[in-house]
Amino acid sequence: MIFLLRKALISLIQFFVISIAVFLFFRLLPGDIYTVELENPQISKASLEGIREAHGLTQSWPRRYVNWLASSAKGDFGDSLAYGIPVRQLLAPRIRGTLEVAIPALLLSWALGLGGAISAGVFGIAPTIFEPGATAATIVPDVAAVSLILWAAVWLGISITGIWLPIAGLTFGLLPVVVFHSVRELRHAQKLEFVRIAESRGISGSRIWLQFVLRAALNPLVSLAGLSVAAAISSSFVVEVLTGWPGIGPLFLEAVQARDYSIVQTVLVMLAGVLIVSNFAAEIALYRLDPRIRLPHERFR
Amino acid sequence: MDIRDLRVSYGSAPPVVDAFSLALGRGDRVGLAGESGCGKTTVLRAATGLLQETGVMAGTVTIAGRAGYIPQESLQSLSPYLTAAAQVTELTRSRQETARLFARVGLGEKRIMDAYPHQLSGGERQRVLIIQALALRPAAILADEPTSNLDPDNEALVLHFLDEYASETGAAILIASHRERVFRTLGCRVHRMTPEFQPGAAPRRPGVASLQPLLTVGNVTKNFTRRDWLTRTKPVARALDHVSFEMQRGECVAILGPSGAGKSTLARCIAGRETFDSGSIEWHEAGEWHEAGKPAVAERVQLVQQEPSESLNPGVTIAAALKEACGRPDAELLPQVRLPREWLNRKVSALSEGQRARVAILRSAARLKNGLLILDESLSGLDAATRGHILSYLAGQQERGLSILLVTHDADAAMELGARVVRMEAGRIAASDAHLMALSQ
Repeated sequence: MIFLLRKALISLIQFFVISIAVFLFFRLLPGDIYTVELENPQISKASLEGIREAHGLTQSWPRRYVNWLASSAKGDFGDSLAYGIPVRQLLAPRIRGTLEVAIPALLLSWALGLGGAISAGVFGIAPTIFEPGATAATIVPDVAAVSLILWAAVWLGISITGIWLPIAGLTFGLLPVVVFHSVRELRHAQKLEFVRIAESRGISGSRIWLQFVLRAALNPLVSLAGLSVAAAISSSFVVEVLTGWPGIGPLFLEAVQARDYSIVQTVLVMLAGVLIVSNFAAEIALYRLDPRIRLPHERFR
Repeated sequence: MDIRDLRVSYGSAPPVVDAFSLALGRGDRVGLAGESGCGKTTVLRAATGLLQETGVMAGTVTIAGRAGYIPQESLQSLSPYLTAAAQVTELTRSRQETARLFARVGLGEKRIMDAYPHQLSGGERQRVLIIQALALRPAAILADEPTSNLDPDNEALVLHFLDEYASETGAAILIASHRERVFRTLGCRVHRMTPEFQPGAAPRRPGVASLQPLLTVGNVTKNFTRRDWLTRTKPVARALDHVSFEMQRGECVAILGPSGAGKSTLARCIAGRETFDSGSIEWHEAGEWHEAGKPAVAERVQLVQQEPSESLNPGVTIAAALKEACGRPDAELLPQVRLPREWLNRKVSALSEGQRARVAILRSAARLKNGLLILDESLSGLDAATRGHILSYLAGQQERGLSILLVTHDADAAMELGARVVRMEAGRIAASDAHLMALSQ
């Protein structure tokens, strides 16, 4: 229990540190959305300062951070300075869009990757082809991956439309890493002494695979799964931009170009939140799964 | 069971086991004897199909019925994810049968059956491994040092269990052990194995005492602390209490004392692996005194821990392991610990426990230039032959200027190296004697 409390406390501290870092980062950048307006002859410098003050851009940064945090906690992430409407209103449908792509792609890549690695092991398909294959696939950039999928679809005469294109593109991006690590960990687990002894005692088939091999390979894969949640979401941004899917990606890109910092900031802090929460979930899973973490070592001493 | 012309080799190196034949009929009991590295474990693992991937096996092994392999206990031989009872139920498929087997080896308590391997003692794990093997009702039992981790009472219990099982079912027993009494108890015919490499006797010359100082430990005090959930630290026990002592260059000092006396902590402080709260540790070098740095200078001090073989990466060759230590793999080093020169390119995983221990100690000593080699209970888990090889190697190195600090509760090893004895109790130096002989008188 104390273990989990401590991990939770650490996660919370991490979140604050990251949010402060993100906040400060944008304070360090020169200029804000009104910087461009300086060149506009119709607006005087004085009135620009007035607008700045009205938007709270002239206060000291700790004060602005606290204000921002307090209103964010209430679900108010401020207004988008470019669109003039609340960030929340702007982001809500986009978050839905991203999740619609990222969640299926995440599930699909784990199901295909881990499932494929296990069945390759069970049916004795040469695992040697997986590692170089997965390595090669990892270095294919997302841009090329999406074009490749489109090209393959045309060639095969399948029409990939709507949401399936970004899902396929993202899955293609995530899959190699999952395959690579699954194959490697399963192969390592197969060689462990206790697994080999269990095999020599006649335990075979699904029992050896589920109860022994997979169990022994699970720890690093659970940690990877925690990390892959955040990776899926940030990779999703790129794929969305490439495929024109209305997720956070295209909005985020526009916001960066327009220096619409309230959006950029909110998205970054949300991403950090997802990463921290999914890592914490992985920690809990490891705690539940591994008796060596959960139970004291010297019970009888 | 019939083993015929068994030959096992790794890579191009000479075979570990060659032309080994052995036939056992129903109810036969054979004990495999021989010093470590002679291939006992290899024979048993080859017969069970558990050789390393890189091992090449020739010859035939036929067993009429199931083989029940009992490995030498280690944390690796049981799944860390299943309780002791679940590991056995995987095989028996019946809880009653599992409970019965646990009761037979004196592990019938529920808290033991429900414990995970890491919560059990070595002896308890060994007994779980034994009942796992017998749960399958094997026609042949292949046991590798099944009692080396057990105290005499539990050894008797386990041997009685094996004996009873074999008498009831007519199973054959092939058992490797360092203890002749195991063979006697089971009524085994003994098959002696000889290592394929016969080392010549290592030369031994009388030692010369030098009177150059090596290090001074002055008033070293250390408390063990514990962190609470806010990561505040508070002292919970005094590990070292104003410990002071000195060592000369080329000297061998043995720290003796009961467990928990702070022997290992002192050794770890000297090796720079642990910090201490107050006091000082100073090294004498080139006529000057130097404060002990952290991390410690590798040429100055090397610490070998219990089960030295664990410190070697099993995936690399002996050459690579030595290269890490002294920059170049020197085949001439190997005969010093009575290993053949040709083994330089052999994988660590192809060595026996005892051979690995010798390589590990050789590697640490080779790293030192007239420095201090600390052995923290490193010899206690080894068989008599390996221990002998290592002690004679150390004696030879000591003559060449190596200083040795032996942390042990084995007074014999201290005696053999002619060590000066420092006795520790409850974190203090209880007595420091010029020589062990003085103490025993």
